[in-house]
Amino acid sequence: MAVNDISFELESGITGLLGPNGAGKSTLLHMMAGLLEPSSGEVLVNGESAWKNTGMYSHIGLVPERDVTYPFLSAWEYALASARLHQLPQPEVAAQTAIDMVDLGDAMHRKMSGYSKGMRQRAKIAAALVHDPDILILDEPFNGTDPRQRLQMNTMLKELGDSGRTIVFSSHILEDVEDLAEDVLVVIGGRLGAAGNFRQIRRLMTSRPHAFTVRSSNNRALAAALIDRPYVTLVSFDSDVMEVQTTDFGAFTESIAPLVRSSGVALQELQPADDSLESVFAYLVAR
Amino acid sequence: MNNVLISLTARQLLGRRRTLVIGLLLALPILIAVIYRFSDEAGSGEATEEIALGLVSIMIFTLLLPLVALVFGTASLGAEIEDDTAVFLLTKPIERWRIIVIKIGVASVAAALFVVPATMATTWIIHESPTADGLMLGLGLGALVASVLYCAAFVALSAVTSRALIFGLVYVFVWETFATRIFESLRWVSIREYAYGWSDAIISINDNGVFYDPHFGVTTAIVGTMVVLAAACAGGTRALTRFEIGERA
Repeated sequence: MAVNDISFELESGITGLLGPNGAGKSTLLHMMAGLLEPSSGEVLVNGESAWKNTGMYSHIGLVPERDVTYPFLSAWEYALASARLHQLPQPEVAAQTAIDMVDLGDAMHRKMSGYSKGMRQRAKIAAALVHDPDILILDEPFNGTDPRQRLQMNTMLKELGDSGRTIVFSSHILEDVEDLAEDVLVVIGGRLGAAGNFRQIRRLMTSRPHAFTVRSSNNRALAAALIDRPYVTLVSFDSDVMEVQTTDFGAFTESIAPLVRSSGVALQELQPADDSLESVFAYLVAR
Repeated sequence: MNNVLISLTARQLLGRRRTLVIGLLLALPILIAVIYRFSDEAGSGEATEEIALGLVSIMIFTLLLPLVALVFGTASLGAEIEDDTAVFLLTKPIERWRIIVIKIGVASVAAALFVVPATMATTWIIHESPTADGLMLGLGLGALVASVLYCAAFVALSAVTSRALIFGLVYVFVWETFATRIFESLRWVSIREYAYGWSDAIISINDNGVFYDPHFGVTTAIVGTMVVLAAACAGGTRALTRFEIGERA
């Protein structure tokens, strides 16, 4: 996915890169990691161009989404190989520390071909952390992890972020970003939809207009009751289905049941018409 | 650092199935040579010439040697790119030339370990006095040089294109096998010809055309070898420096 007209600066702490699948998150992260050349503009890491700069990998740890593990190696051998390729003075100590950080000690001598996706993910993180990088780039790090591993990874990343490192991770799941990141970059269709504090962006997302599909025994009677409400902006009909737009998600969902009862109609169907992450992001981009 | 790169490449290259298949392929000329030695025709000059030409020149130098080098050469780097493990290497502070040189080195050693003994063993079994004319040693040296040069070319090709295997096959079986026979001037760009040139420096028999057919002397072979190695290292390094890894399609 090509990305266009994107400009931002990352500080220490955790930044979440949020966007639906195919939005261009991996493209951005690959450019930050020096694996893709920007056709225009530049990506600077610690003030130096990321492209064709092998020296910067001493300061960067990358956890790609793709499986970059060697199936014939154990997690221990993998982390140790990473430490040796970084020419660390005590590679065994560094590898063990990284393995312990991702809680892979029990399985560290087993071949990675027999690992679950979550275990391979942790092995990748161990290999990326082995040289204690200032900057950590993670592409969809929660893929394949179970809730316990997710919690543990959250704790680890928070500790790393609190210790002054710059961490950027991508996710298409809002809750992942909400749990971890203070700052967020929202990417959609290769463009930056929003950037800044997560809470502010979250407020924007919840206060956006919402649309609901409604089917009842008497749509016209229900529409008459609905349109009186200040938070209902539009009611439209399409054969036996009615679409209702509201500016206040909470007020609408709380009042719909009493309203149906008082109107004397039977509610047959009520569902959000535009609750996909794509539509949320599209709204942000349009703003 | 170098040891880790060598070890990772060797372990990836020398997988059980690949090793077994290549081992069996290279056992074929040896087996045929053994069968010939125990046949009634063994010892007859004409039959020996024919079997020597068939096994050493055609089966090993034209078919098996380039194939084995193609397998190891493209797997050395190309398989890492295809399996995504190249990302692991490319995100380490390692100079790209070092990766290319080590990939070429390991692939060459792997190919030579199979091809050189097979070439020397086949020559030794067929020929009545293989050591007297330097024949076995000369052909072994030619196989060694060819292994290194083919692997260098194919490793570099893997850095340049994801279709290295196809281009490699076209080079070996269209360019070297047919084009150089039709247009003699194309022999200047033939790894096999350089390898034969090295062999010719050691082999002292006059009529060596039964085993191989050298068109260049050793000086040309040395220059050609240096050019191929330098071009492969420089081209491979350049391609790997600019290598882009994007989102999976």
